[in-house]
Amino acid sequence: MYRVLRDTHLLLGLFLFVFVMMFGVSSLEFSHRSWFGSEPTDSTSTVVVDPGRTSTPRELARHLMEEQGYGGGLHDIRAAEGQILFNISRIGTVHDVRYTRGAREAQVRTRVFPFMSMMTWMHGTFGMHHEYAPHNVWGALMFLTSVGLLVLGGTGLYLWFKLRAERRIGLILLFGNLVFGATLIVLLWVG
Amino acid sequence: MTKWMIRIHMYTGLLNFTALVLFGVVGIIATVLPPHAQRARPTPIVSFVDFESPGGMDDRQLADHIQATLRIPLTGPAPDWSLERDDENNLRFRLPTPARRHEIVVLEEEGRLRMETLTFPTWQHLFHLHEMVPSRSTPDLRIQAWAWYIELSLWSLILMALSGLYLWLESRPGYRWAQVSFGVGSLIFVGFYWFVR
Repeated sequence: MYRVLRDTHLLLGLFLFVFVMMFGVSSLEFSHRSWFGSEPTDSTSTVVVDPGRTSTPRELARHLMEEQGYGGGLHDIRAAEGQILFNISRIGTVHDVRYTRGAREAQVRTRVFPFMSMMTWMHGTFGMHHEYAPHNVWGALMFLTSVGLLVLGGTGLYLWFKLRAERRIGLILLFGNLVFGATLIVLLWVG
Repeated sequence: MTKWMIRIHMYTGLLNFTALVLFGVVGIIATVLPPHAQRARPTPIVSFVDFESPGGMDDRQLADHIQATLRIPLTGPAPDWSLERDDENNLRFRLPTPARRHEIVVLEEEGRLRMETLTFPTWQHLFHLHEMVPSRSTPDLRIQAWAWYIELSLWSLILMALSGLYLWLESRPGYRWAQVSFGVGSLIFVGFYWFVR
């Protein structure tokens, strides 16, 4: 039993190492935004479009994805004064598209975010309901990482408890933490 | 050195056990929840409170004055992004807590405040708790205590991962399955990053 759980803890921990580091480092970016640069590189361009493929934002987006190689999900669709506005975005990159109905070209503003913003974006990309298929793959990985954190916690507890010399101080830390944490969770719920 | 690394790895895990479980649970919840637009919205409770505006205040000062007057537990000054004037030129702002959201509308001409209180579902409460850090929290002592605990847990998570890596390299670097596990996990991450980049 001990060897199985020790190896589970080791192998799972190593498999998830980069993912757990991503969670930790991106949380620091969230907590200490001023420490990190988060300004994207910003560029604008005019791209040629086929007016026959612009009847709906989705059709135009698909056209741009095929012709310009834009990857991502279609978001934030708006229509105003004969114009269609939307963005095609994926983790780290946003293409803001502005198209005037009937025109043969569209204006595209592309923002590419730096590494730390990518980490934060990856941290927040959960679930498997995204338009952009790779985001669903990522969502599945985030789910595995979350389950993995619980398994690492459980196996870690077992491995600690097997070290008799560490039980006393460990129990103090664990129960102190549980009492502190659970009390605050309840206090913050009841207000 | 190794003995201390084991202790660091172990103690940080024990000291942050609640937060680690919370992080895992929130991740699972975030996966199984339906998309934002399809989630059921809790029904808010609306109430009115008499209020005489002292006058001579800008929107920020008025919102702070109301927040101090109402003394709703766990709330702090309204976030800047929530301050706005509606179509009738009434000041609106939010006083969020981890478990509730209080939306205030200042009806100056009627001499009262409209308060809409929305109690979040448990999962959302947990979600708010997991993202609560000192730089984004209110001055309330309970909030501050929790926020600093989460801050400590963030650093502990990084320390746990790094000390775990060290312990592997120090004790069983030649263990083939460990090399494969680390390599495959890292490759998947780097591959995904490269793909979306």
